[in-house]
Amino acid sequence: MIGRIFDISRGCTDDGPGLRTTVFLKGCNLSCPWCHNIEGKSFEPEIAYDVKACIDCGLCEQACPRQWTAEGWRHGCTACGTCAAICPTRARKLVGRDITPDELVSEISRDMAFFLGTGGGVTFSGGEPLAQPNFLFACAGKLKELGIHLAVETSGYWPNRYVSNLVKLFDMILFDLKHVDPEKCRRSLGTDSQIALENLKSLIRSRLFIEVRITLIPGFNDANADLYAMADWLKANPKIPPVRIQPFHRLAVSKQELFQRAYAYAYFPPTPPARLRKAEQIFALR
Amino acid sequence: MKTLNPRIARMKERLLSAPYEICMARALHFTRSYRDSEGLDPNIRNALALERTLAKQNIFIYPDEYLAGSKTERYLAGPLSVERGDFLRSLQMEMEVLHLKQRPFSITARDKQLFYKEILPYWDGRTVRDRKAAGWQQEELIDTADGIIKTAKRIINLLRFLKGLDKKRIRKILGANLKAPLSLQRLRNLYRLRFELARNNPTPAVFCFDVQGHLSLGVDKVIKQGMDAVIRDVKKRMALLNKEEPHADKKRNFLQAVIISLEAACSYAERFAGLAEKQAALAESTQEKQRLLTIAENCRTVPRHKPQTFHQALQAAWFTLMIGEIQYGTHEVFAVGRIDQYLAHTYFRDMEQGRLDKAEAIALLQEFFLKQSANVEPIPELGMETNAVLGNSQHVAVIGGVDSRGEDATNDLTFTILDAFEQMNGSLNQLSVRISKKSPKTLLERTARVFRRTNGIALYNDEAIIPALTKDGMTIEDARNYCIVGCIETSGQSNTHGCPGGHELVLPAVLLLTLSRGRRPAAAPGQKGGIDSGDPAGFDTFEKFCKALKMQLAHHIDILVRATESKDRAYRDYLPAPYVSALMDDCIENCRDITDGGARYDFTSLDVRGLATLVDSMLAVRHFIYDRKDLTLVEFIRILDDDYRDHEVLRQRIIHEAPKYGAGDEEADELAVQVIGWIYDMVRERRNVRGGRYRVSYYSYGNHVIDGIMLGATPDGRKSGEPTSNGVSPGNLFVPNSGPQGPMKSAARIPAEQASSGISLNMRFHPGMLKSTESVRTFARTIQTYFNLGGMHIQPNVVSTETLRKAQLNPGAYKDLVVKVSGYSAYFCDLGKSIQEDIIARTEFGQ
Repeated sequence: MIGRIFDISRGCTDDGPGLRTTVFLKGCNLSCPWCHNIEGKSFEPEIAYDVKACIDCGLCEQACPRQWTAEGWRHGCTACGTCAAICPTRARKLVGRDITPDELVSEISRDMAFFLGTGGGVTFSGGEPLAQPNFLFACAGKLKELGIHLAVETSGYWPNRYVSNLVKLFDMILFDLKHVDPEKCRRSLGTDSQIALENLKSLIRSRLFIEVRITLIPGFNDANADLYAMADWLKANPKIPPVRIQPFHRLAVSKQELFQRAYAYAYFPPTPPARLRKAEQIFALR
Repeated sequence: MKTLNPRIARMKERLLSAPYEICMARALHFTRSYRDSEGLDPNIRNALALERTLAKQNIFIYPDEYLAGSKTERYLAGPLSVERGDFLRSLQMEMEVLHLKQRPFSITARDKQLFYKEILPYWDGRTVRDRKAAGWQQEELIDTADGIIKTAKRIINLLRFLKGLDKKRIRKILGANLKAPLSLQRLRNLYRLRFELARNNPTPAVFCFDVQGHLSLGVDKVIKQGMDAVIRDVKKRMALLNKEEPHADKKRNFLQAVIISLEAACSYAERFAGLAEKQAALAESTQEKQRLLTIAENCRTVPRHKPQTFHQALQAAWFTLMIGEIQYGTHEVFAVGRIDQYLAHTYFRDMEQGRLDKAEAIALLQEFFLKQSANVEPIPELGMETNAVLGNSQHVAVIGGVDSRGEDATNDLTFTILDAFEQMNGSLNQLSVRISKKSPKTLLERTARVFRRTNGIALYNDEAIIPALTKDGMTIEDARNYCIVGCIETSGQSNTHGCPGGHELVLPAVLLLTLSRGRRPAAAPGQKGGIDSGDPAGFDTFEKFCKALKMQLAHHIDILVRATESKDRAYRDYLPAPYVSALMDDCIENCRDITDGGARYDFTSLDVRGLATLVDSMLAVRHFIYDRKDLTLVEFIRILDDDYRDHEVLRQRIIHEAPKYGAGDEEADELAVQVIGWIYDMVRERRNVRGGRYRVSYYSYGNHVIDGIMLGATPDGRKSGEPTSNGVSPGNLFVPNSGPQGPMKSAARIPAEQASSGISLNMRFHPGMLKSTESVRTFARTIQTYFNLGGMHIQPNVVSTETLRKAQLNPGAYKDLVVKVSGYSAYFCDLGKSIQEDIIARTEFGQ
């Protein structure tokens, strides 16, 4: 079995308790226009090109098996990775590599001492990790055998039958709640909110530790009415999970260049601190 | 209790905005006393000089002070050691450009006159430096004899040496020296100083400075019993002296010198009492009067008698340290020791009896810390690139850890000291926190929280250090009672003459000498190069390459040891330290000075620098030359000589492709452990002139930046002029995506007993690592995990690149931003540009 990931980030402290290794799985079934992991959206490998790191050695051009045209290197690029393999500065990078669960586990488990020592572990993120369910569950199963704390960050758009697997294998779910309004979701995500909400309900009912994360997206869910709607929805649940509000930031702007792709939210300002505090209050009032 | 006491805030502001000055008082009194005491025993001579200085130097009590004691006649100046030689030479070199330095120093015309007319002429040929260098000349470690052919050769060498340096680097080295017009006096000074580089560095890879290094001064003794009790002990010992026993005269002289020194120290305190009483009589407000009378009473009591209150205990500690500085002539040497242990008795008694509240205790501790950072020293311009001027103090205080029975020693005072340190936001003194498995979890977490506000704390692991010290020959009780001296060096408290600083080996230079058959870096005038360790064309396997490297390494360690011996003999025979010995365990019983092996434990540490640069270079050579065979070693050397010109592709491949030390990569770390093993094997059997062992430490204070300026390109992708790696941290060039655990795992693999004098792991973290209670706990546990793996030391800097850049642009607004350099703390804005850039270039974790 093979999965496709685009990064392994060691020493994270934001994605769950302790010191964590976050594995980013490539590909997502949604297409949120504000997504800051723009390299996580497509399931296909891509070539990132960092012009600042490039020293113009020209090795990539010589090595490219396709026609390197005047219009630019992307023309006809199949992301075969030849240029990335030869690039001395790693200015060209192949984003998206295939890996087996065993390889992944052996790479991750080198930091075992730090997982145990800090109460940390592994977080799967993406993309949408549950878009590669078999790979995810296989990796999680092997890591669980080693006694590593496991978390997964998900948007919740997947078949409800995965819940039992998640409950069996994971210790924590970081549930990225977009919105509760079906109409708004349909317009921005291209799909209804219903699936995610059903899954969240099932997860809340299970014994898993759920943290709901809400990123404030300008014009989508950051108005008071939106926030109250979400808070009310959460309140209606038998158990009210902890909520973490995350500000909108524009880190993806710098990635536009890497992937030569426009970022639709490039000109929205980051969430002002006052807005963030207000949002936190709304959820604290529950 | 988060806001700073207004009194302390005023004192801090005063310190941070005071002009730097040079005070000649100590230098002058020492010179005159030594001139008058020609022919007497060196111990007696030193004691007399101290006595004279303490009796004659003008004293001051400054506004707001509750702890009296001024060490020079200026508000912000350091006591100048002339008898050692290093400061004498650096002043001689830069006397005419002091006002042009990046941080100018002022000196009065009279002081300048005295320096040229009286001080300099007397000490010529009599300093430790001169005697040390004479020894080197005799042993042919350096060659400073004159002669036409030699001079010609030297000029050729000098040109070759300068050729390796571009204009920018020459400007860095000479600094203010380029700004001033060439006067006759300057030319004369410079000509006389033409061999001074060789007198620090007998070879380009070996430093042997004039200091004997850091130690823990017996502050605890003065607090436990008072100096009078020590004097009584000395007299008792003297009465037991048998005229027939060998060296009876010498022993008597030593004991006599101890008495003179301690009496002089007590009288110095009494002078402050007198001054305070006089000022109190004139005081206008009752509050002011009360303050001065308290000072007077305290100075009448300590250091002669045992302190009765917490306030007096701190006053006693300050006098002990400050007089040590005056005796030794530098503030760089003495450590404060386990302050939360020896102050605990008076602290708890005062608290119980209601004489002291926490806020007062904190303010007093803060004043004590501030007084210690009131230091400036005129270091040469090159040193400026890497060193801080203000507060460059090595008064390391240690808290936490276990006591001599092995039980947890953390107490309420430990946390009060952390509070004091945190509130002050950037006192410079280095606070060291010992962590053991028995320490409460709150200690590490509380310490981690301090980093939200300021840097400057280093953390040590008892479980790694104590067993290493017992292997060095310490009893288990003394080992458990260890403290930190200098930057990060381990030492027994008040019982160890460890000489941990000033003898240094530059690994990247050894490597370059291996690659050039001992020819490059080129030798400066008087210096000798390396040995011919074989033609690199013949290194057809990695093993042969390593063999040549080992040969070059052995040669330089041998030179370093011989150079150190010559210096130690000069100290033993001409410049003992009776005041320091008085407070050192076993010196009185042995009737011997510390410089003569009188202390209970005696060591010399060799300080090794540039570990990651060397190891990464070896890894790159192995990967590209021997494994992949992309090019031959000879070709590679040519590329290095050209500073990677037209070979940027290769350089980038080295940076990104070759394995690296510091990423937790076992194979790479294995090589580092192997190199450490070689060095340990080369020194373990040696004994210094006092019979003590040699130990090894791995830290670099700021000198890795100087090494970088002097050294050409290295095989790890480092270009000529760039800093080499610091301490046992990974190199700056590239760290694979390993998270903070990478460098920790690598450093934890270093066997503590082979680096028992200390290692320094510098890591920079983004402030986001500490934003919540949860993340503080994770940070603390991460460090605990590193310690569980066997790590000895870590000093985090929690500051973002953004903040550092802002501080560079607007130093005024960031006056008290403190950073750890590599071992010591410094005000960031007071640092030279090169080292600022080095700190910014270090990988920032948790971004």
